[in-house]
Amino acid sequence: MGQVNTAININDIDLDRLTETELEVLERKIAAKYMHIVPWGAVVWAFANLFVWLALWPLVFMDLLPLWLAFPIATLNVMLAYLPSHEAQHSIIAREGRPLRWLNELVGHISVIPLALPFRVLRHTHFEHHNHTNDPLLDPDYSVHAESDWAFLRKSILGRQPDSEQGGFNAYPGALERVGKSHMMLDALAFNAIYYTVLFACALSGYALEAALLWWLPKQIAITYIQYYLSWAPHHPAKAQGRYKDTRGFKSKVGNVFSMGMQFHVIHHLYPRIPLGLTPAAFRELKPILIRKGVDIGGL
Amino acid sequence: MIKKLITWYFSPLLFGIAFVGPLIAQVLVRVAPDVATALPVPNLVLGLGIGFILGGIAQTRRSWIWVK
Repeated sequence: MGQVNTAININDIDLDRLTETELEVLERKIAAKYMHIVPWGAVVWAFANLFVWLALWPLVFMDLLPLWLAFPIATLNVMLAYLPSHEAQHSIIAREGRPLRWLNELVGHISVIPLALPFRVLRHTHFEHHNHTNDPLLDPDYSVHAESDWAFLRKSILGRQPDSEQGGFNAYPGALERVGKSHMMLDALAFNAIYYTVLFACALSGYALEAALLWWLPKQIAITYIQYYLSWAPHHPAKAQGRYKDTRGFKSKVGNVFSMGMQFHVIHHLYPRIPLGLTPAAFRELKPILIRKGVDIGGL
Repeated sequence: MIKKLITWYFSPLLFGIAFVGPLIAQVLVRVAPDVATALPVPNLVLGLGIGFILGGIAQTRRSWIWVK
């Protein structure tokens, strides 16, 4: 990742003397220092993660790696599959028209293969989440919100059942329809068809347990984990809407790395083009402004 | 016709038969090989039977989770 320009020092500025407009300009100037930097770590992460997950299959099938060891590795792979795509969804690697645009799109598509979720669907529904965060009717990720961690877990699992109309990813078709991208549901259909076909083919060839522990169960665990840290925790209690109200900072019991950097998700919602790896530094620099704007920084 | 085919392919019943059934058979052999060999029916038949029942219940209840 490139160097961050540190020319502005917020500690030298008396924020109380600034007008709201001046504060906004300062906030944007600081945020701009962290943007337009290619997150090469996310690019390597996307390819390495997919490679390891794909390698597990022949290693297990040829008895070169025991299934008990492959299962936690696969689970980790599937849990880590979303974030590089998330960088690509926001065109952080390269915006449209830039020379590396092809890499941005490639990372977006390939990194979510272990999750069996299509990039284009994730991108456009995620934009809807940003545009309507915490709106019960328009935020496609709203369905996971619940009063407590356990209530979240219950909702997350029940939301994936066949009878669920709004839980899990069931609000996504409606979100795509609203933005005129319904045709992208064909991507979801194709991804699901491939996922089911692989599971069925493995099962009918005598590798049901391998398929269950390399893909099915890791996917269930990963979706719960991703929904918890990306949708539930940073937006809890999900009652307020507005730029400085809909996302909060929080201290994770498992630390920033194991909560996928989501303690600083508020920075992502304010400035989606800041790479994930730079959100802690951006948060620290913007913290006085965020406090003045009334952001819940959760004791960070 | 295509819609019906897609609905059937992603149905809990097919998932129960084509995935859960063979999975139960394989788990039985791994966890309790003595029981698996002593059964009067082949493991796969037993697994498919249980998978069919579980998938059928999930299909009817529209949920794999029995607690609402």
